[in-house]
Amino acid sequence: MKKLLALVLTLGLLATCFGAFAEDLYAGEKVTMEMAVWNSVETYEQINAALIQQFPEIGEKANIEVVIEGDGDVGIAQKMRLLLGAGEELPDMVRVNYAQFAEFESAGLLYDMSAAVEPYKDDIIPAVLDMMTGEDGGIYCMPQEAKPKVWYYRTDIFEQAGVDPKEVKTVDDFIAAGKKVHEATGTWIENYGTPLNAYDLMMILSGKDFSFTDENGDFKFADNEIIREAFERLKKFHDSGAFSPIDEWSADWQAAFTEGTISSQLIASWMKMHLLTWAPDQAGKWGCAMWPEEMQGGSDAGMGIWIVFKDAPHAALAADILAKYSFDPEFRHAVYSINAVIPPLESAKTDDFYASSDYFDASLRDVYFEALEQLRAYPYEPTFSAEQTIIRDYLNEYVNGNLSLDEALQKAQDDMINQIGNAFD
Amino acid sequence: MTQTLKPRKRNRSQRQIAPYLFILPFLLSFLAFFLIPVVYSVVISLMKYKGYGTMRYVGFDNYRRLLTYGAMWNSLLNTLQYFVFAMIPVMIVSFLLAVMVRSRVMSRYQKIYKPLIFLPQVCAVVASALVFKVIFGTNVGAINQVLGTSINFLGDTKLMKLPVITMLIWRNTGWYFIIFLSGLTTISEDLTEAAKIDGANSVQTLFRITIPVMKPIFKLTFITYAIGAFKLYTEPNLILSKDEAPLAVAPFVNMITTNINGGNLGMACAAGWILVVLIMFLTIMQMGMFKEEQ
Repeated sequence: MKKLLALVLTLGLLATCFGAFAEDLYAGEKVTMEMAVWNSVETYEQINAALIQQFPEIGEKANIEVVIEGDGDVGIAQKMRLLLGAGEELPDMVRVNYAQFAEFESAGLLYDMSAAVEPYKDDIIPAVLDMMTGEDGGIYCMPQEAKPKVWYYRTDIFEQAGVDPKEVKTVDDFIAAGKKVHEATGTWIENYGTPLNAYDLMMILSGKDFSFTDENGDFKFADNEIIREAFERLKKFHDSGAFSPIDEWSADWQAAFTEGTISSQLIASWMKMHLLTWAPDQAGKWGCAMWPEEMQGGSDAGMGIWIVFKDAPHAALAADILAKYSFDPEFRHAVYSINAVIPPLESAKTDDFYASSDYFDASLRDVYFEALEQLRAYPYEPTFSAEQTIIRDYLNEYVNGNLSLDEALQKAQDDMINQIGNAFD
Repeated sequence: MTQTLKPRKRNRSQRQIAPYLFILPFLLSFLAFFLIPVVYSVVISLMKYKGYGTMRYVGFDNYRRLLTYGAMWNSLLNTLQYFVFAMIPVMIVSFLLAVMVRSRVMSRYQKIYKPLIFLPQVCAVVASALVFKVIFGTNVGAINQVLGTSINFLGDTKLMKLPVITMLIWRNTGWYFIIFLSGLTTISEDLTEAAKIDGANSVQTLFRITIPVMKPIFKLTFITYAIGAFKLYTEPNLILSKDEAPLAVAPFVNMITTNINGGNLGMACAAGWILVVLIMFLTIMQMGMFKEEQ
């Protein structure tokens, strides 16, 4: 009897402690928290307003300021390095890509968010949970958006050209489909103008068992068949004449979507946000398919992620807010209404809310989760930012015909050895 | 006796200290914001350092790696090309514009010409670069639309430097025009009048009087232009890329920024010091060139 009483008392004490911990996060004076993002604050501010509406305690406790800290994931990572180096105050929540995760996680700089994620853990897609988990088993990031490879296409144009994306299975099929759609409708199903982006290459490599380094962190890839094939494939696309010669992120690229001269894109799930903005009058005309079978698997940089630094002023509160932000099934409906991002949750697979969209046909949700099953990320080294700059340059030199494949890969490897040394050093 | 000397001594020492007190704010800020960072960057250039965590001494390894890095020499060549191909037209056009505006016929409209020519300098460089990116676009670009062509100015490595050079000329002409105009005002009218009385025509006056007298101004402009040109960064990176220009067209400063972005501050500082040495070398060379001619 005494033992039982002691057990009950102990459990009660523990529950009180945990309760107090949870309450403490939202007790006390109101604080100002910083959420660091890139490019634009508008979408995040809309989402934060919805967050406060659903969780009033967050609004009572925190004033979340969204701040631009860079023009992209590389820029924001650099800003964090400078803040860390200068010992200045860090933002509470930082948006980066999974490509930058290894650098900060391996340096032991990130806050373990396991406790905040625990209530949602069973609902998170295993591949995503795996990426969130650090070397020591702790959870050090949360998904802003998982980014599996998907193929967005104009259903009306593909129907007119008589091309079914499901029947496009190989690289050659894709090129043939490009020619067929262009002949029938005058539109392009992709663009492979130079300079190509690093992600064009990394999306292919992420689906394979490839790394620029060996297990010791030494750069060794010039003779690797996987990267040779990836380089050759991109050059084949570039030279085929089946795709538009414009380059991504140019003024032409956005205009091509707006004017409807590009009718599909082999890309990752994030592209839908741009489609909504660039071609709003094409609502209801876009569908989603898997990449051709020969090129399936992988992702673009795994996921967009949120990280919290150990030394952030309100790390525990930030983790708790981000857990709600990322995984609360009801709140994710509000997020989807704002930016069309589907959460990587098991419960979302069968949630009809995500099956409906004014812009995309019903294929969006099912294809997203099918692609998510194959979500893989390149095994990012802490020095990946430097690696991708070098490999992108030599990819473009090869695609433009300035270097042979052997020369391009050898020079890229030599430059990585020269400039970086060892990836884990 | 000693009582009267003491205040005098104090006054003298106060007078001696006073100037130093006046320049103390400058000295402190010079120390804090220039000298210490300069010394610190030399130290970092000898280290392997991410910006946080521990620094590891690597000696001159960062310099050795950079000097044996083909991309660095390539970016240096790109910078030299941007420098030369933009500087020649900028100097000629801005000088001729200044001479024209200074001439009797045009001088009455100076109030219109001067701000118009200087206007590109006032425009934000980032905004201007983005506009040039659109102007040179393959399909949406004004140039291709006017010519009825689809020239890939922003993707073809043989043509990619053209939009950058065009923007550099457009942007810099106004600045050097003002410098040359102010230089022209220093030429005594007596000199030009005397030349006219001696029978010199406008071209002869320009080559025999104006240009020789303007040599110190040319020296200043060439040196300042060269320093600015070697620090070129915004125009090529914004016009030719979403983030950083490709290797084939990247300027030298990208050696610094890519290393900063890649978390290699030691290498970035080393690249910065190589740039300092290059600029110093070029400046000394230019000064020597003008000295010889004088």
